[in-house]
This record gives sequence, C-alpha cells and structure tokens, in this order.
Amino acid sequence: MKRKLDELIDLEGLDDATRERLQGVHDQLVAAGPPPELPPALAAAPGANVVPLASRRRRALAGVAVAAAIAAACFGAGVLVGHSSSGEPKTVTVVAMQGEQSSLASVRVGQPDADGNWPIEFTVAGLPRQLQDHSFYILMLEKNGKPVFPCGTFRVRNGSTTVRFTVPYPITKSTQWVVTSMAPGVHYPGPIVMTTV
Amino acid sequence: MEAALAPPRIAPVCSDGELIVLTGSGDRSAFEKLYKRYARSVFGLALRRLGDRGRAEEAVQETFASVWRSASTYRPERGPGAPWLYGVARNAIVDRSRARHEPPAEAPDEPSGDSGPDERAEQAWTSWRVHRALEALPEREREVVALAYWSDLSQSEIADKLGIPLGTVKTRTRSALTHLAKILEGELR
Repeated sequence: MKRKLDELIDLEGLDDATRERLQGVHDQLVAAGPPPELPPALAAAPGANVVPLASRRRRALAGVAVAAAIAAACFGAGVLVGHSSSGEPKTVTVVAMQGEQSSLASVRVGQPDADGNWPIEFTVAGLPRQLQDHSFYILMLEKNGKPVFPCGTFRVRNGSTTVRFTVPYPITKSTQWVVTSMAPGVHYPGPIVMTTV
Repeated sequence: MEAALAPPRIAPVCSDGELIVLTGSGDRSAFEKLYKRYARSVFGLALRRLGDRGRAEEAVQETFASVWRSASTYRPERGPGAPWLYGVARNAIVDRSRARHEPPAEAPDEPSGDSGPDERAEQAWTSWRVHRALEALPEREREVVALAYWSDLSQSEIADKLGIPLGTVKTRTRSALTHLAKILEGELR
C-alpha cells in the first residue's frame, strides 16, 4: 500500500491537527496490514452451547442412577486411561466450562491416536478444595443429560490445576462435559459442580 | 402540540475491561463479545508469530480458553483490557510455538535485513490495536477501508464496485479514519 492519504480522502478545509491525526491513523493502517480472514473453525467462541447450570444440575440430579458395578468398572477405566501420556497433538477443539463458586475451566481435546484414544488437557480455576479425606473430582462426559463416562479424577489444592488424560470415547462438538464431586458416602458419581457452557 | 424529538438511542458499549470482568464472573455473552472483538486480532498475531494457519487456529482457541479461565484475575485498576488480552494471547502463542519442539532456524551468515525483535514486537502491537479498532467500525466503513488499503483498487474503482459516488467513497473513508482515530486514542480502556 503505497497510496498517500490525500489520494484517499480530500484534505482541503481540514486544520493541521486533524490532518496530523488522520495521517497517524493512515500510517498505522499501512503498518498493520490487512486483518486475516477468520477460518470457519473459529467462527464461534469455544463452547458455544450455553446451558444454564441450575437447570442442567436439577435435571442431572433427578435422573442420575448408575449401577455401582458399572460405576466401578467405568471408574477403573477412567483411572487407567488417565495416566497414559501423549505428545503434543493438534488441538481438535477447546470447550469452556463453568460451575459453582465462579469456577471456570477449559478442556482442550487433541486428535485421537490410531486406537481411538483422545488426549485431553483439563485446566480449572476457582474450584474449591474438598475438605473431606478421600474426596476427589471426576471429569465426565454426559449421555442423555446424565454424567455417564468418566474421563479421569483429580484433586484441587489451591483452586486451580491442570491435568491430562486420554479418553476412549468419541468426542464431537456436541459432547457435553461435566465435573462431579465425590466424597466418602456420596453416591457415585456425586453432584455436578461444573458444566459445559 | 409538537412532540419533542427523542434523542437517538445508542446501545451502550462495554469497554474491553468491563467485558473481561463480566467474563470472570462467568458471563458467557460477555465472553462471546470479547471473542467477536478480538478473534481476528489474536488470529493475526498468531499467524504472524507461528506462520501456520492450523497452529494459529489452535493458538486462538487456547487464548480464549485461557481468557475464560483467568478473566477473574484481571484487575481494571491495574490497566485497560486490551494489553491484558494481548498478554494472554502472546503467552498462548509462545506456548504453542514451544510445544512443537521445532529445531531452531539456522543462523544466517549475513546480517538479515528483517526487523529486529523490538521492531517486530511493535509491529505486532500496532496490528493488534488497529485490527481490534477495525472491528468496532460500522460495516460500510470497514468495507471501504479494506478496499482502500488492502486491494489494488483506486477510489474510483471502489466507487464502481460498491455502486456509490466517488465523493461518498472519500467521505466514508474520511469518516472511517476519524472513527478509527477516536477509537485508537480512547481505546484500551
């Protein structure tokens, strides 16, 4: 862009201060260059499906009834896959989550490996530390509005943490993530404390 | 009796700082407004730094995930929103570039004519501010600026393309520059 300002607009009648001001903007536009076109994948902010926490929570609490045997099996699977490591795969999607006490989180999902294991990185801030011994949080996927598939368990000491898991479930844009809170005596998988936004 | 003319209703525009504060309290619509304002600026910054559209896309996603998580740490009294967002974006982009463990580029034998780190940083910041300001322009002004600055069309050709008189193209361009000046001077609240 070699064009001068007076080729683009009429400067006649403008005082020196205004000319100088517009010249400054002109110079900055030239220096900045064109803004890039956003690719379709970035058309919307991460986690575009807004669902109010309260209604989801009521729905989930009303309907949650997972058999203990299935729960135990799933939980075991979650722990096993939670410890496998992965490199730095291409990010497929990033999902935003929010929950009680202004906790906010994101789930970064990478490309699955050839066996169908999806690497995920979960980062949370503002989640309260659980006071009871043997308490922990579970990151889960929902099915029909219920937390069904565990992805991994974690603890939070100072409100924030980042954990990595791999999960064997197919992840799509419409996958709904939740975090539940487990403690001794609480029926698995525990109450939902965070949901996808 | 003649009815009094009502003043035009102007939708209140939240500053970047206000939107970050709202995002920090879990306000999804504030987050989406921030995204709309800044997605292109972040993408541009990431493209400039990473040189790869795929990785730049990832950096944009990570930037906004990070904004979502850390917005509650933003303190308006410490400074306006745009530099805070710029810092978050820059960190996400740097993380992305480190994540690939790419071998360092071979050192050239001759001094490069490319700009140095300070100059590049300044260019990146200028682009960030200008691209952000462009997002705040009315569509018809943004369109004429894009054509005037980043197409090879003359003002007369732009007038033909848009089907408006040449004088309108010039007036609109001047109006856009005036708006941009106002945004860039009063921006970054």
